[in-house]
Amino acid sequence: MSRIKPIIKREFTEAVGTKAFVIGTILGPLLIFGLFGLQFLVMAKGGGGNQRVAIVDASGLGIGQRVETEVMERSGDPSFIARATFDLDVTQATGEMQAATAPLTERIIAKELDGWLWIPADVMSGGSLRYEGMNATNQQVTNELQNVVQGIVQSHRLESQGIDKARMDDALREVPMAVAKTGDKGDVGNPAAAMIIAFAMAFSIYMMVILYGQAIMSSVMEEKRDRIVELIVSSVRAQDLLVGKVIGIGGAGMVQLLIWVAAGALLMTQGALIAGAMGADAGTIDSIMSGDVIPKVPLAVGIIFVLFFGGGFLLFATLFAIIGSIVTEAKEAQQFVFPVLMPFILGLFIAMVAAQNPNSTVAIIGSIVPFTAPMVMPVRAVVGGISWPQVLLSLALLFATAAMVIWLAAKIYRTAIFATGQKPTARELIRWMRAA
Amino acid sequence: MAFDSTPAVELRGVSKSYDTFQAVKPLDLLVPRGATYGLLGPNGAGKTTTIRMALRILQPDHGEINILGKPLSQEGLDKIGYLPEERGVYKAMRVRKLLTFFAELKGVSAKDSKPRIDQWLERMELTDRADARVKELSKGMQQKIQFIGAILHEPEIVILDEPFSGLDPLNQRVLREIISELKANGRTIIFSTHIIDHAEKLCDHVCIIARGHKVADGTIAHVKKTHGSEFIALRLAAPSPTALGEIRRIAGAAGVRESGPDIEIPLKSGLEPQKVLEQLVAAGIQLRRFEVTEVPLEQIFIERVAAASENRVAPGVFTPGTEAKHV
Repeated sequence: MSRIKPIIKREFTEAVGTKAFVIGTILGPLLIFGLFGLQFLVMAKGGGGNQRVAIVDASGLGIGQRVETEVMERSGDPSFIARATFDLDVTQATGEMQAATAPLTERIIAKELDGWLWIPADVMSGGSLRYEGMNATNQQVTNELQNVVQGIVQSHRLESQGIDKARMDDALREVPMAVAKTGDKGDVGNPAAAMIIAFAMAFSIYMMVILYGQAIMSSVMEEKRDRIVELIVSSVRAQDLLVGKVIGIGGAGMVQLLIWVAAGALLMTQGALIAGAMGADAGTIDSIMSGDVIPKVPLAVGIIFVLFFGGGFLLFATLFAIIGSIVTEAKEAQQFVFPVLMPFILGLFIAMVAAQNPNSTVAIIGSIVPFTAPMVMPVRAVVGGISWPQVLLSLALLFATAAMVIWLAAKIYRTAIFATGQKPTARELIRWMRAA
Repeated sequence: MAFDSTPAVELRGVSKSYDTFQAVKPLDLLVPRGATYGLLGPNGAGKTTTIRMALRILQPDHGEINILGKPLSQEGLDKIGYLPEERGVYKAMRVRKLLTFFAELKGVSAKDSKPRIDQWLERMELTDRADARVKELSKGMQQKIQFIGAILHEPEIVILDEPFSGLDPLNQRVLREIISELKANGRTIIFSTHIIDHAEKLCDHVCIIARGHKVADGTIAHVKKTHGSEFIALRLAAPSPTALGEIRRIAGAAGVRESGPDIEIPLKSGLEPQKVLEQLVAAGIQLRRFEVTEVPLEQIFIERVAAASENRVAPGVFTPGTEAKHV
């Protein structure tokens, strides 16, 4: 064990000392905070702006006037997104749209006006509104105007049929439904929060393996390419080097992940502050503050996650190390990476299924097979509760498989690190396992 | 160090095959403690494979390996310092950190290794590069760093695989001096080389390997006595076909070997140096040099290797006319 220590120490300090690590560790949270803050900034600053719109009303029903009143009333409503404000100018018209709007188009060209809305005479019987303007791509403007006109026209239509609009609205009111997730001890929680945790767990294993599995692969390739490995294995066993590498580089990854998680937690507790600083309005800030934004993770789930995370990383990172030892160039590595990632990606899919239906046969099998269990079991534990016999069986299988893969890897490693020519065939790999 | 008669390294019937190719045929090797032991052989002879097996890097197919009288173990490995032929270091690491790491791999703590690192860096004139990254150093400097790494833990046995390759003459001399010092301090040094001159200057024991076979071993004197014989080295004042014809006649069955003005006559077939000299003088041949000398190790090496290649046992010393300066 003592000889693994210097390996772990070296791999960890070298990984943590790279520019990529420092930048990635700092940039990750900055990106999270940045994107979070930016959305409020964009919403606050990049909203509809002030729109000068002329309404030409040919309906003869005074719809134009009612639109103006309603738009003015609506502008006071709280909104997540900053609304467009309107400067409306309503005129009544008879005759053709062409003739009535031609001078308005001139004003648009002269930048005195942003657009015009034509309300046709047959609007009640299905005639189409028309909007033209420099700001026609601004959906906030067109949607708002269309919605307002539609509401007015619909209530006109109801009135003409003798139906009271207020009673109609009352009858069509939405039926709300509250949903709560029942925990193992009958406690209830926010199901969305449970799903967030479940996916965060599956995804963090995925990220770790993709990022740091590849780092381990490159590290093995570097040792082989730069002829370092012979010296190392003259002092420590090949499997010690392998395990030390996985733990050292994996440890660096864990540190990074923890920093990111801490940043995420900070964001969840201090999100309102950031949103406020970026110009979000009071309503938005309230909605961030309230609710179960910070999901509570039961301790048992946390322990299960850590164990499966560790076992999964050990298993997949070792597979990456094997790839690193049998190839000499990054190009060659890619075709080996894919078959290794296949069960891993399958695991992510099963994790998604498990999040919906944690006790389906697929989810149960997926949570026990070692190559998919690291992603599936934690998700099942969060969403479907913990079945300890299954968890223990799965853990035993996972670590036994990891140990076997490490043992095999060490055998391949010993022979592979001295082979610098062509990449080996499957037959040669089997021979290497026997030869070592 | 108390005197211990068990060998530093002992290989018994050790063999290794790759597929159908037998890289090392059952090999017995005995390296006495304190010896400077040259493992000689042409490229591909099985030297590196043998060394790798002794260091547990490769598993032998058969045979037994003992280090300092005990079966190969971590404890034994910690007492060995190794400089592989394939030189490699972590290029992105800083020199001092790399050396500390090498020491830790051998069980020497960072605290204990620090003064040794300082001392060695000073000795190798690399003190000012202690905090430089290895990749910023010249190739020669990198080799020195690796050499320091191999001996930092003060091993009882130092194994150097082709230690002189890639070193300039100045650094070769530094390395030779250090090897002599290690030897004076009672360390056992094993080095493999195909440059026989180095072995002859530095070693007291040699083992010649060819095609996975041991073809000669023992002290240099023993090897020379067993596999070579003395010869007369001549240099003519005025080389001429007539003089050469005369010399050939005098040498008779023993034959001669010529290289410009230098001529060698093997001392066999009953030739006596005194009589040869008298005959040469009587024949009126003017000499610049007349010396009875040992056969060089290189000559034995070439012959033994050639014999192994032909899969036969080499006859005594050289055959007339064999060109044998370079391997």
